[in-house]
Amino acid sequence: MTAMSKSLINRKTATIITILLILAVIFMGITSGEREKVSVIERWIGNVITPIQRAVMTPIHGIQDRVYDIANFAQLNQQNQELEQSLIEKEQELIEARLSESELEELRGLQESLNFVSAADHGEPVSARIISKSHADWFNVFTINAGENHGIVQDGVVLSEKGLVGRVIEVGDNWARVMSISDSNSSVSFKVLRDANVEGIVQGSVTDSLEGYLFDPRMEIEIGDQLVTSGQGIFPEGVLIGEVTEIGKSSEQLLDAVKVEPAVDFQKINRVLVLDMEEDG
Amino acid sequence: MNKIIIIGILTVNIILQTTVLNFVSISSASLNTSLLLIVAISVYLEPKESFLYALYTGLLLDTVTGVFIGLNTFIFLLVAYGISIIQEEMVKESYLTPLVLGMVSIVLYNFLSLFFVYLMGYTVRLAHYFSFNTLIEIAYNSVFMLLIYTLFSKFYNRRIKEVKY
Repeated sequence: MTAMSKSLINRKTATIITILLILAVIFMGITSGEREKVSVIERWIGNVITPIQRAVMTPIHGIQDRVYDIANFAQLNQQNQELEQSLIEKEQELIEARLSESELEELRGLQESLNFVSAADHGEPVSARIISKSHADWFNVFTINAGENHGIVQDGVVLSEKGLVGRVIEVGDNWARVMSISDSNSSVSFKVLRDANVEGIVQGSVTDSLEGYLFDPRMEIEIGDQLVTSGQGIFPEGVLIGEVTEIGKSSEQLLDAVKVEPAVDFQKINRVLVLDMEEDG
Repeated sequence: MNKIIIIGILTVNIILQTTVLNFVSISSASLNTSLLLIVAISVYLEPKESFLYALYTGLLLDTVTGVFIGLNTFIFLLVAYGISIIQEEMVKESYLTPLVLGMVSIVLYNFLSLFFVYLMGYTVRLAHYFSFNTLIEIAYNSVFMLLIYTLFSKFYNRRIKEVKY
């Protein structure tokens, strides 16, 4: 091959690659941000891949469950479970005791599932398992094994037995993608359980902890305060978010910044519950 | 036949990367085996072939895990193209080759991801990406690169022998 023909081929290849790279950037622009629906191709690929991911994860979940069981047995599992149950009940009692009477009216019947969310505000809760996670830590996104066919909708609220997990961002036929509240692009408005007048907003960070600030800097917040959702936005009121671990001034030195340890351990979470908050029960 | 096997390997890899390999992450540093495979493929195969594999892997990974489509496709294509330019000058048998390529590709992947995630209007926290964790991720992936590179070179050499005889 002559040097000239080689150079022509190289130039042609470079042109094709450049076009493909530009197309990739255009695709990024089109598909970034909130989308009402995933494309047919994405849906189709998801429908093919997710059953395989589910099959791969089934034995892993099985092993995880067994290991968990054995570990707990060694540490007096029964006693642990009772204590955990008692703690959840106490926390719930605390929530009910501290919320105002009118709020309690709205939150009647919270005993369903996590005992946090009013049954009248949502459709049938759908339980699901996590079948895959995003490999990179740009986003805290994971895929669950339930989708449109199971009643999952976009912006569905995702909970675990410990508290708030996140929201549904994409829905396929038998799968859905969930953005956790620990993602940098998630934000949740909260109120302090001890004093419902203390409100603010927390956002995900690159670590699994949450960071936020109070709306009113004159309000007081303490380390150890438990935060629950305030009901503004898509998340229902009264769901446990986490516990305050650090308090400081935000970069503007005007607002009280808080660091929050989420109630949910995002590294260990396997099972979730999804609620459609738009459907009237 | 080779093409079907490689497509199969890349597909199975994506499934494993998004499921099982999440459990073998060190700290929060995870393996990007798709990128490492594209690097190995680009070193050994014809440029046009490696571009097609990069395109396929990028699109599939974007669709399966991405919040938006195109990020992995862009990076994989760029990596494949970059390697194709220096392919002839490379000492493929040296252990340094996969180590250096692994490190450079992971750094490039992180840098471009950060850039595009920011460009698309998502929140990024720079401090995290210049942390100790990033070093763990680079080291972890580079060591794994050695393994993938060695396995792929054996696969490639065996196939070449089979074609000859």
